[in-house]
Amino acid sequence: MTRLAGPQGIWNSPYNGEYWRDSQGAERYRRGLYTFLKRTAPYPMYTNFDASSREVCTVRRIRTNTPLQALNLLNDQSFLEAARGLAERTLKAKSDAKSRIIYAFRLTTCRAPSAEELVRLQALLAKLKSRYQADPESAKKLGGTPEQAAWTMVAKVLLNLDETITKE
Amino acid sequence: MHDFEFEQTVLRDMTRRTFFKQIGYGIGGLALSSLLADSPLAQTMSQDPMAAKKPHFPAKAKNVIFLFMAGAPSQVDLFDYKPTLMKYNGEACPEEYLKGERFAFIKGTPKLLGSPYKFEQVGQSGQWVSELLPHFKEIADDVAVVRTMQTSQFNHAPAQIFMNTGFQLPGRPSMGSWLTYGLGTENRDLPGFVVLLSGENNPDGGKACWSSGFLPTVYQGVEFRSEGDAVLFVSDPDGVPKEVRRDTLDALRDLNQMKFKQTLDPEIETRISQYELAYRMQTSVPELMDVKGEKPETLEMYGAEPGKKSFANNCLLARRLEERGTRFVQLYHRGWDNHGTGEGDDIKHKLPRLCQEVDKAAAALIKDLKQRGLLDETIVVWGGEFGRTPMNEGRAGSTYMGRDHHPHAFTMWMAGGGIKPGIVGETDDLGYKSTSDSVDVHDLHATLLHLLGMDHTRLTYSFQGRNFRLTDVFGNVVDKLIA
Repeated sequence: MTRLAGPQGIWNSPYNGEYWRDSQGAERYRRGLYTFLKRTAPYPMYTNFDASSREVCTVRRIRTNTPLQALNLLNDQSFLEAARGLAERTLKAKSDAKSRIIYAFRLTTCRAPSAEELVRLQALLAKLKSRYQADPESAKKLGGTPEQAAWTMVAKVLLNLDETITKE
Repeated sequence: MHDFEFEQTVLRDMTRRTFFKQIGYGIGGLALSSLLADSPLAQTMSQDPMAAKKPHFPAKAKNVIFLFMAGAPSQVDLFDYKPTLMKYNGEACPEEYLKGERFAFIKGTPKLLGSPYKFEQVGQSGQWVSELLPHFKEIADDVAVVRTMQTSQFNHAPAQIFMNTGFQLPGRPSMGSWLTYGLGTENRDLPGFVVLLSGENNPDGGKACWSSGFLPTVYQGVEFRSEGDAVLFVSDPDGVPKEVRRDTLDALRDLNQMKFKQTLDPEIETRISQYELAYRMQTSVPELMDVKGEKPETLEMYGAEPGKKSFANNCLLARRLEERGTRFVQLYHRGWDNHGTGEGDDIKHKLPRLCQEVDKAAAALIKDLKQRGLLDETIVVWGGEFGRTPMNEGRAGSTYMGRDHHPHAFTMWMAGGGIKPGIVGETDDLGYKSTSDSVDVHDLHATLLHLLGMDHTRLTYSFQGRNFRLTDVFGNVVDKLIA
């Protein structure tokens, strides 16, 4: 089962038996803005990224950068799905590895990769492909063929670049 | 690459934050990299920012566990025995005390409120301790009790931020950040500065209490959850074997490094090291949290019930972090704000409950560290952001016993590495003001840093054209606290 919410039990309300249900279908991919919030059981990702508790106003957000945020972006199911989505889009849009990397890189960073960056990403792709070809079981768990799995993890790297995460 | 082109790249990619940082050093594009190489900033950047560093002089302690009693406990009901105050219980507070005073809630002339609790003399020192703290009595001879702490702030959020950062507004680095900046940390598989929360809600000062302020964010406190999994998303997703995880992190590091070389933005370095730490935490955190190896007697001593959100569990976890070399562990327990507006926040019902939640585990922590030989290298500090008035608050005619915020004299205790057990400071007969040895927040900071081998005037960071310190321009080491 995949869960958009992350940890189980976040929302087991003792009062009315309510619990967090993963959204299905198109609902699943709403923007975070529409995530239902309960003040007493905050959405874990928002806590990791210092969202306000909503008890007081937030005049200024303080700068943070913790390993908890890294784990969140790497391992949270919803971010994995995002990487899978980017991989699918990339595979559809272009037909060769090089132009696919450039395409995905531009989508995440709004610029073309340098020659050095391109080489590094090509090396990563080749390595991941051979890993997943040797281990199709893992590729399947990630939701596809070795090719798709490798691209999902390349997309994961692009989505975790400091340049992608940092808005400044 | 041609130098001119290099300059163009640097200029183009310079972000706003690095621009201002570099302007701070008074240098521009082309000479940037060579000049920066000699600057202190570049020195911190070129090494692992969390690597253990040598202190200024030989240290008496290595690590700190700070038990922050958020909400501010009542000193006159717990540590500062005042028979005179008890004798004049219910009388109007003398005018001389109230002149020019500002209170958070008290209006008019309040009545004195003697403690309703019995005190007894304990241990070698013969210090007076309240009946609310039966377990503290067992460690009384191991701790230094400072009865004359004072602060400049009398509301929770600014006072908590002041106690943590030496300044009442958010934006300065906290104690734990300064410590990890100055000393690094010995266990590179866990964060060097960990925050654990318990009690009825989060500290009023919020995350500013463990912020790294203007220091690189690698030094900020990492908050572990006290319920369920301590750290979320610690396992790799299905279909991502360890080797794949490593491949992707290697690529991520290399690509971030390329960007860093262009921009020299230290936040990218932080990003790289936080991803690497996250990777190591995937192994170290499950090991840390697995208390199966703890003896039942140990759990019983703390009153810890694994899996429950409690101060006791957090104390046990603090010891486990300490054993693993974590530099600074800070526990917050919120709920001491006993104004007496009802049963939920008064001296008669609420205060005893809080003491029950905290007393046993705090004493167990000292005993446990001691029996493991860790107390010599660890300083444990217990206390809140201010104290409570010797007068009854009586907000809107409330008949419940309660006390308002009181910054002039309050009690903190500390024990362990280099701390001399005993009593520091005396207060007047009402416990209102100190009559000897006032210790203010900056003095506390200076003393803690001293015990950790740091001269508080030399632990500085250059920001906005000035060298900043945890102690700002204040702070004296309290000799009476040092063994």
